[in-house]
Amino acid sequence: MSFSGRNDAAASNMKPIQVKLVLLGESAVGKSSIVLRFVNNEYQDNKEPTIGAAFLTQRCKLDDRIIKFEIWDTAGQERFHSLAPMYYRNAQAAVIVYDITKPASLEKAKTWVKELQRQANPNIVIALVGNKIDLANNRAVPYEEAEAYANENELLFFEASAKTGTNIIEVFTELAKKIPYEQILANNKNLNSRPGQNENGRVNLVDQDNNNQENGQCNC
Amino acid sequence: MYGVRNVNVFKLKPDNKISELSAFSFVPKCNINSNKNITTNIIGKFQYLKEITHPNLCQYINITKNRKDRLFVVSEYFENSLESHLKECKKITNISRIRKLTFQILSALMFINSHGIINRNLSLKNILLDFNNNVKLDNWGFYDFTNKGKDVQFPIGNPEFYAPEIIKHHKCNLKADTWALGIILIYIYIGHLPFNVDSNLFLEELFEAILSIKKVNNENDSHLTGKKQFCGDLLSFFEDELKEENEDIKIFKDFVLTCLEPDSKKRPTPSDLLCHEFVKELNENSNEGDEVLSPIFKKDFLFSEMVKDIIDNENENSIEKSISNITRYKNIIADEDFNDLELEKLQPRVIFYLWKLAGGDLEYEFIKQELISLPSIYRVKNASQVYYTLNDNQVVNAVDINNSFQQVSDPENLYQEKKILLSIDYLISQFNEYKKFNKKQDYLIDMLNSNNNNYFISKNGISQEKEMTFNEFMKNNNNDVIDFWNSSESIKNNEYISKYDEINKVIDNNDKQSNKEGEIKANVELSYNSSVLDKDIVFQYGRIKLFDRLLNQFPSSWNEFIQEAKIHISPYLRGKIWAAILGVTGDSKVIYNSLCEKCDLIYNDSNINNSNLELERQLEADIPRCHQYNDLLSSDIGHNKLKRVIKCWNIAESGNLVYWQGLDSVCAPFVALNFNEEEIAFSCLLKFIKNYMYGLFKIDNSYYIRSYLIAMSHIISYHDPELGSYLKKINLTPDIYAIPWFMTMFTHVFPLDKIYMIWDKILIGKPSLPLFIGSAIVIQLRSEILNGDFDESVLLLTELSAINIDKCLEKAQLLLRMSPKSIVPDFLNIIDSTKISNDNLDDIVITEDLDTLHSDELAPRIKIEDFKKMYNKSLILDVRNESLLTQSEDNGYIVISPSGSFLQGHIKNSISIPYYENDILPTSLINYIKILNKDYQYVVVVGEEERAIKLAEQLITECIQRVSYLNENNINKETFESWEEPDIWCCKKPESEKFYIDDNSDDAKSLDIARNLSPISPRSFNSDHPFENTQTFIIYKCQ
Ligand SMILES: Nc1nc2c(ncn2[C@@H]2O[C@H](COP(=O)(O)OP(=O)(O)OP(=O)(O)O)[C@@H](O)[C@H]2O)c(=O)[nH]1
Ligand SMILES: [Mg+2]
Repeated sequence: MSFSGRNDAAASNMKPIQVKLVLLGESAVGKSSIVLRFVNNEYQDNKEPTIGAAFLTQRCKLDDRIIKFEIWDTAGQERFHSLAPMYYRNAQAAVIVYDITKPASLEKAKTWVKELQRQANPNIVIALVGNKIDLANNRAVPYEEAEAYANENELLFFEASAKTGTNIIEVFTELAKKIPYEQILANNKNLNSRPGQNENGRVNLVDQDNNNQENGQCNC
Repeated sequence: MYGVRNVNVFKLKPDNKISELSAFSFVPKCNINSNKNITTNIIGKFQYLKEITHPNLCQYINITKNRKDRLFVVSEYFENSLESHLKECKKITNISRIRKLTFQILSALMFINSHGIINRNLSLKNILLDFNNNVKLDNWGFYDFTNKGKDVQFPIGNPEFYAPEIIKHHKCNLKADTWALGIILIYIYIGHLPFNVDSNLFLEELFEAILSIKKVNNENDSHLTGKKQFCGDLLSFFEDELKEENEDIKIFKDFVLTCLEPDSKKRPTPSDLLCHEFVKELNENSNEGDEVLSPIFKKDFLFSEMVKDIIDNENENSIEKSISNITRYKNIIADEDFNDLELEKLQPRVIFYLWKLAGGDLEYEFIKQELISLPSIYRVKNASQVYYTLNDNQVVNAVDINNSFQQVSDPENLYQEKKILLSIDYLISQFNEYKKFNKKQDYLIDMLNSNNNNYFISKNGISQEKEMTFNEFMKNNNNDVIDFWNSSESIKNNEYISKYDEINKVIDNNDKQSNKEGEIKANVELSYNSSVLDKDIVFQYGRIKLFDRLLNQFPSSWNEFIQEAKIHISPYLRGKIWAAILGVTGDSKVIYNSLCEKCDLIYNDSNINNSNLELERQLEADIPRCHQYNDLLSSDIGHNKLKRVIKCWNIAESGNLVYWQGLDSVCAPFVALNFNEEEIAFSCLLKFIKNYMYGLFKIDNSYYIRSYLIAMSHIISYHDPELGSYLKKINLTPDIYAIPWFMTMFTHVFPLDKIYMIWDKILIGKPSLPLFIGSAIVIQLRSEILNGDFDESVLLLTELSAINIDKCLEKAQLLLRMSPKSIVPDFLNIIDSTKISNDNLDDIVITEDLDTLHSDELAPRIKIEDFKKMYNKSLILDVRNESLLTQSEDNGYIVISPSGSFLQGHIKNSISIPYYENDILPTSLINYIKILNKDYQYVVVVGEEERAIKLAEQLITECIQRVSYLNENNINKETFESWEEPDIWCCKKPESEKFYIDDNSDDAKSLDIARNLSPISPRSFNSDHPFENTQTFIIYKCQ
């Protein structure tokens, strides 16, 4: 069952491939701004903080496929951390963001990488993104340092700016290229459910165990 | 002379005390390349000045900006100034007159200095004179709120009165005013500027003259020297002194000499000068006490006469005294004529508020008088010259200036020194125009009043496509519907409706007539909504007066106050009214100050602990993103206030609650409304979170937030089953979009103006009202959601810009009244009853058990107490039936056998629902239930949990409204024993009803006809039936 809009099905006979993508990273590093730039090509100077999480979608064409990114933009505050597994659990892609002017945000990014490597879908494709390169004058994280870390952990690596738009599309395109589609297609067939919508689509602020039963109800 | 006062001037009789309002306009420095927003910082800094009131100061009233960052400053205004006065009388030589002027100027200066403000803008035209020739200092905060002139690209103050250090070092302190005063005093005494300078080289020579002045101190005499060529008049002013015999004049001249000390280090401050012999006597006789420390509302008297009364009579901070004054005040107000606009009694800021309500537009006033674009040659030259002379170390020539400051295309446009008077004529005529429809006021109030108590269920239900208007709704309601939240069960309201309609008609006709010239268009569309009321000038005037009285009689006026707050909260007094509702008391300042001290200690400590450091960092990230479209909150001062209030909250709640992102947004409305009274903002935040956001800021808030989310989905399915089941089908649960709604009480998802409307209701509503507001938002979007898919619907529910808040609030209150109490989370009901009994919320105990929330269920569970209220209006479906629905082989009829437990005893009038395969009832049976339901308001499923819930869910999916499950697993005689009504538990043998269903038809009519109510024994089931293609059922029903 496809939840994609009617229009795009008409535009192309292909069924878009749904890719669930999650954004993680410290508060105010620019996650929401990156999504806004990618989805609407907009930038807002004082983008309000994300509370809980926000959901957006964007379609793109890659070779002969249409990919529909289902993007979960999460809250950065550490307190919301317990929510995160809900969003990354079935994600095929993750963008972990840090702020090149804030070394602490890279440290936080590293803990996200570790957590994903341990707990997320083993095939998840991760991109590490150093945001705000428009503020290069205040750079506090050297490119090389972050790049070396990314290589070590086999992550895609970019420096980008949501403000100027530099490298934002690239992040998503490169991610899109790396995703093992055959597997997704196979999975989608089996589950017949949207990624991100498993387990009632419910978000549990603390207790994830509560969400471990599958939704047994019939949805027809 | 500067004031252009020819257009629409409201001429005053000399004895009339209506404050005149004036405005001037300027453009702050361009701030394209800096992160700091200079314009909003000016607005932020300005706010404090509004609170500084002194008899010798023109009161600041308002600052606003237009889209191009041009600022408009409104202040109290008086027509005469020393400058205009001198034009008439040439000079002032009467020493006692000069003494009085001097004293009043000094008092004003000392007063603003004591608030940390430097005037540095003293000049003849800034010293205004009121009707009694008292000094009213004007433009006194201009230098201060423009960040010592750094935020503008034109000079502030007249160069004639610049002190030497301003010219030499480009900086100054409060002593610059002392110098300016000295020059001004000579000016008025001799009748002209005491510098003889050529107007061609005006500035160069003027500055040379000022810098040439030196003071020579001999043993018993000191005198000034200076370039004779320029300072002749100045020097001879003092030289004359030797010949003077008059002691008074001697003292006066000595005073001036004291002022004109070129060395600012040696020069006295204005407050030092008050001890000089010249004014000492006046100073000692002045009975001006310190600022009166008062309970929070008291200082907010809006009627200036009363304020004066109180200040005059109050020498000490004694509260008893103020109480007697309040009583007096009360008496004056008590026999008020509600409808007379008593402008002379109003404080200038209230007049300005009403002026704006009446359609006043500052920018338009300037454009009308061609003041924004009209350059004045004199000013251009001097303004730019002084500015660049003072701000660049090398003197820049004109060509360079043009090159390096190209954005300054027209310096005159940067600062429009001319003041325009804001005409009150229009305000008065508008007021009278509105007064014609005076009567509507009473009805509006009646309507609003009744609206709070009466809610009715429309027979057609809510899920109809077309939104009902308030009027239609009132008409459609039927009177016998339960109000679950009020003791009185139903109230008739038709009387109001017809009256209201009549009034509307009258107003409509009147408007059509008077509308010939398109005068009053705005008030034609009278409909029930608060945005209309907020703009209704007569209504607002009455409300301001009323709340002013109630707040000042606090707390004895509490009951009346709450009653009025439920009707309508006046936007002008919203900050105070909210604080009063929240129970903020006069000691908040003391508490807040001590918290601020703690706060400073904690955050300035180099060993700051981790959790505080984390908060500091999080605030650093969040505050610059918090409601930044608002001019106050985006200013540096606003940022600091938000941070400080939140930090203090964090200290006050430490160990209990923690900062979750989003709390900044909750804080925002309080800070914006009480910008000058942080302590009130703080106390409001503290109380609001405690009482209205229970549990949401605990470290582990999952139980509370989930309770909200799950209850909201229950409310939606209960009232709008089609929407509820659709949302469940596409898996769009509130978790996905509504966390910020409840975590921030909607402050994160709406702009402030909408939040004000919502919170006006939340604050005086039941603790569960937010849940219904959330549900009403979703329901308002129902057609878009039903026509959209998951993605589109998520977008809709995150982008709420199109939501009509008035409708939403109306619906929310309606939904609340129509919902059984047990649909909302237990803890909200506990809070409600705790509040009603006035107990302490700290003492309540909530069992935070996630399993009790039943997140997977579509239908709400209701408690027996609610059932008691609704059972006789409910279709009761009993699933305690172990017998299977069976199908007879030969004719395809389905036959229901009677069930054991139902036969033994059941709730009166209930219907036995048979067991069916997979617990999914056939459509025919559902259709039958739909027909029966026409006679009822509610559907309640009773019986064994699992089956009942499944049935309830199926009914909801079939779009049956108000379906709930009675949360009692074992109903029996005892369950109802305590009820007053007899025979609720019925053990009679139920009647059977035979009916025929055409499976292919949804047509209720044909089904109706096919009902056969004659009792049939199941044993003698008759296989003949009169209709083709139908199935026959027999249902057991308690008749
Ligand atoms: N200079 C610059 N600022 C940026 C950039 N991206 C984001 N910002 C700013 O950084 C701040 C935070 O951006 P957000 O997108 O809200 O950050 P976030 O990671 O979503 O934050 P949370 O929702 O709190 O987790 C905002 O004020 C943005 O305007 C960038 O590329 N350059
Ligand atoms: Mg964000």
